[in-house]
Amino acid sequence: MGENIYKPVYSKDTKLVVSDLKVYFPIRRSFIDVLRGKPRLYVKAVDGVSFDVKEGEVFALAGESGCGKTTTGKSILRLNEITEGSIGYLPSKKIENVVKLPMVKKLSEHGHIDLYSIPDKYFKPFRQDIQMIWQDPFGSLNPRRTIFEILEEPLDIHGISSTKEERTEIIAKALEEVKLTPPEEFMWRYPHMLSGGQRQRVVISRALILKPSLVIADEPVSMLDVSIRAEILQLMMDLKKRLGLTYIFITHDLALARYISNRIAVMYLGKIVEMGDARKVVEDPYHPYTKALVEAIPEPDPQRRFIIKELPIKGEVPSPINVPSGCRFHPRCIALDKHPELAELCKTKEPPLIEVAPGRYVACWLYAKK
Amino acid sequence: MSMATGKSNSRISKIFGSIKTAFKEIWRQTPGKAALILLLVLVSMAVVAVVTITPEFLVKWESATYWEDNPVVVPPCWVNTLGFKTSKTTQVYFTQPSSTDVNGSIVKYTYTHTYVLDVNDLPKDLYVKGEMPLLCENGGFKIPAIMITVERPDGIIIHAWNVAVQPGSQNATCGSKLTVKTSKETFNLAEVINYLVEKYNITIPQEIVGTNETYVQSAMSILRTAIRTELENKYMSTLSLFVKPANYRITLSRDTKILEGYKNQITGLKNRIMNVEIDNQVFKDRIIQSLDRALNNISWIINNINTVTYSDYLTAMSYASAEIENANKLGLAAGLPEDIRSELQVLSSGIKKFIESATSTPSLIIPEITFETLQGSYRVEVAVAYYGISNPPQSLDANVGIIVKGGCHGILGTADKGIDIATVVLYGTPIALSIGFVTAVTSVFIGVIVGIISGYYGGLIDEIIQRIVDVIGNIPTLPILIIVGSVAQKTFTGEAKSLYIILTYIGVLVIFGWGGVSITVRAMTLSIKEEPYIEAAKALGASNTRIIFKHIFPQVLMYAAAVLVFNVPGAILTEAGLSVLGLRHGWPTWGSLLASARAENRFDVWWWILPPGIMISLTSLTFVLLGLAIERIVEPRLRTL
Repeated sequence: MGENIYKPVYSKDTKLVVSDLKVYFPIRRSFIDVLRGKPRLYVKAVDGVSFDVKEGEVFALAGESGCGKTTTGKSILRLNEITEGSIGYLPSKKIENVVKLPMVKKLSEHGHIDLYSIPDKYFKPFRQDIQMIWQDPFGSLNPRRTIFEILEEPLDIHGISSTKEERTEIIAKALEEVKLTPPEEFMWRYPHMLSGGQRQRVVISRALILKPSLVIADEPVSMLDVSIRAEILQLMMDLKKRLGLTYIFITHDLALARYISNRIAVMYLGKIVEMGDARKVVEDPYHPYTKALVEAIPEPDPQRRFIIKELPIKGEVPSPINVPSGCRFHPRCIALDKHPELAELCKTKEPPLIEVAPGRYVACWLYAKK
Repeated sequence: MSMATGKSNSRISKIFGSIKTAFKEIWRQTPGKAALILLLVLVSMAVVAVVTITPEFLVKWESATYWEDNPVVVPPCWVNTLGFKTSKTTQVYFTQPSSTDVNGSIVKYTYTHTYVLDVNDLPKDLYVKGEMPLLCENGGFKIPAIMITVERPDGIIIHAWNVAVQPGSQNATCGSKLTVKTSKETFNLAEVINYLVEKYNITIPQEIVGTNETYVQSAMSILRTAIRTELENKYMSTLSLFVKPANYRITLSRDTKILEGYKNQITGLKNRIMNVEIDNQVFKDRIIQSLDRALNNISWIINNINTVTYSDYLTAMSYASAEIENANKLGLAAGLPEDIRSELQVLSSGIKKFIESATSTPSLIIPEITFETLQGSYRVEVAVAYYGISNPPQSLDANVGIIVKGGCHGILGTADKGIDIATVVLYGTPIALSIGFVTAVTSVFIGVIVGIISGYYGGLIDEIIQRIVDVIGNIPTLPILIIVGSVAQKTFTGEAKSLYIILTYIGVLVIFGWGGVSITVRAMTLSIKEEPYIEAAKALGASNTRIIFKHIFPQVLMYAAAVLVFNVPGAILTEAGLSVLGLRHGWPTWGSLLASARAENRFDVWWWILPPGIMISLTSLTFVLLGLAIERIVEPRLRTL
């Protein structure tokens, strides 16, 4: 096979490199099962994911729920243990010299370091550099604390400015940045006194108050009213431009991903099935699964309002405990029905992520054959 | 360095600031306001109690001698404003004499107090007690003579007590104090009787007593004895100071049964003598005549029973007795059979005994006398005199107390042994509050900490803690408390016994009290730690400690506050319950007051059981209201916009 199998590259402008990331969650066995000697089972939430994110890029991780995109995002923030793989990260200038510990693993000559090689107690500075915008603006704000207290917490944790006056100034500025004006009016409110859009602005503000360089946005608008989604997205894009951020945008909405991101990686059951330029992936999907996802995007055409589309996919998402052999998509693949000659290969051998066009990768035997 | 202090200062001011805000928030709510006012009252009571309590009180509060001067089981004095009429209690102690009187070598120090009795309720007791110094002159001791006089509103002045104090065998020195206390045994009751008889003109009417001087005297003596018995039994001798005769009635027994008996006996004897063969007919006739005269006398009494006087009754009886004796003497000369003569003898001495008893006991003449309270001002004067003092001191270093135990006492009345309920209720406050607080705070603290650890860290720690909680939760507390309590009562000795017993109760309550809290806190922690904002905090770099104290703890705090609130009265109630069950610890608590009421079976005495009961309820109410207010602060969602 002469194809290029995808391998993440560490280059000067790569902010983040996720390499062969695997996250398995053990399932609790009952006492009787332990006695019977039943083997421990795992939920394979992320099962060998590799991608790289360029500096200043918006990289979208797309896929349906349960495919492991959020777990991937959390793994970058070290919010859960990973089973295998490495996450290379190019620290921004302000924390560059923080980590010069001997045990930190260097991954490239450009200064990429493995986030998981840093001991827990030295990881704190990285939290300033990598932040997360949460999906749920209702749950991710502590209802017992005022907006001021919520925004003060990151400052407090990282010991940024000690006097109340300074902090009030920082917080006011942060609120102004997300257009919650006048800030004095919002500062002393509790989350339940704000609308969903306003809360999400607070969530964004909290993520940005530490001046991060990489922001992982986990479906930041999926729980908002459609009417304010555009507003929030516009705000996020403005902030990106102004602050020079890099976004990893986790979403299940391909249309949205196309609209805001530079590149898309489509995930299915813990693996990336297709990756490439956002526009190209959505407009001309290669992988049968991506095709199905694209088909599922509702068309804003009143002529077709009564037509329920037939999607090019069958069956249900299998359990991540028992991942199908070979290509994990094969039990649902319609293309497989059209190419019975591939059946043996698809069912036994897992397709690698191969380059089918410049910067365009697909994990499907259909394209590997060419 | 300066940075660090600045930071710690700001932290302290922040804590104070938040406490201040919390108080303001509580004050803003109606239940909070009520709770704070009640709490302020309770706390100030506790503070006053702690400042004024003496170790002696803790030990002696249940001994009768400690409350010697208090009347026993009397209502509070404010009941008089509700229309009850009770006499006042007066406990005056003098350190300075009211007047000093020097007359030659005799010096007399006088202490006077006027007691006003303006209701019909008789005081319970009156006595004088004091400590007088032993004075010295030329190396010889001068012993004080104490005279206590009471001037009654009716003008009678009674020298109630004359006490000569003896220094005793102990090594007395100049100035050493001699203790004096008057008692009803040394009370001069005879004088009271004399004055009462004289002043109120208590006499026996002539139509009852007749004119025989001897019998009039004996009737009077019977009357006095009756007065004395009445005053001794009903008025404890001493209280006769406060009474005057209300009614008296002297009746002569108009019962002829005994007389008929004598008459039949004499008639029988006469018939038997008439049938006896006697040589000397003259003697026989004279015997018969004597018996006839005796019969006549007795018959006369019977015939005039409704009009006969005491004197005539007894005169006739003594004539009859004399005639029978005469007959007996003649019988001896005439040779009457032995059995008849001995019967004559018995009969005559029987009548003599009847007369004797009628002149010394209220058998024939029956006086009935009742007394009533004499209202007005009583001037009690205690005179302490020393004889043979050439250079008497102007003021005596003595301590004289005049105590009148009335029908009411203090603001909350007294219990048995004269225990002042108000004092015990006051001193019970800090003890109750500490028992409640220490138990509640300790068990809730342990419960919250253990619950959070169990829920937050999970795994093996969680498993072990929860199994321990299961075991503790399934052991009934009350039987354990009773067993541990009675063991503690036997085990601990010495001065700190009570403290140790109470600490044991608290310990048991804490051991069995934290489990429930920890189960709930664990459940709350399990749900809180899965909240997205906890994950967000972790993403921000928050440590476990920070998450526990800043995110989980404040939310558990609401529940903790509520449990604390319910545990405070719970512990106080448990202590009271154990006291009532008989597991006393010996400290003056509200529970022990209730316990003594139960022990004396006096649940009808409202002023004994209501004050401690109300205090327990008020304390509970305070903490429930406080809990309501605190709940609103720690749970902002309860607040309106």
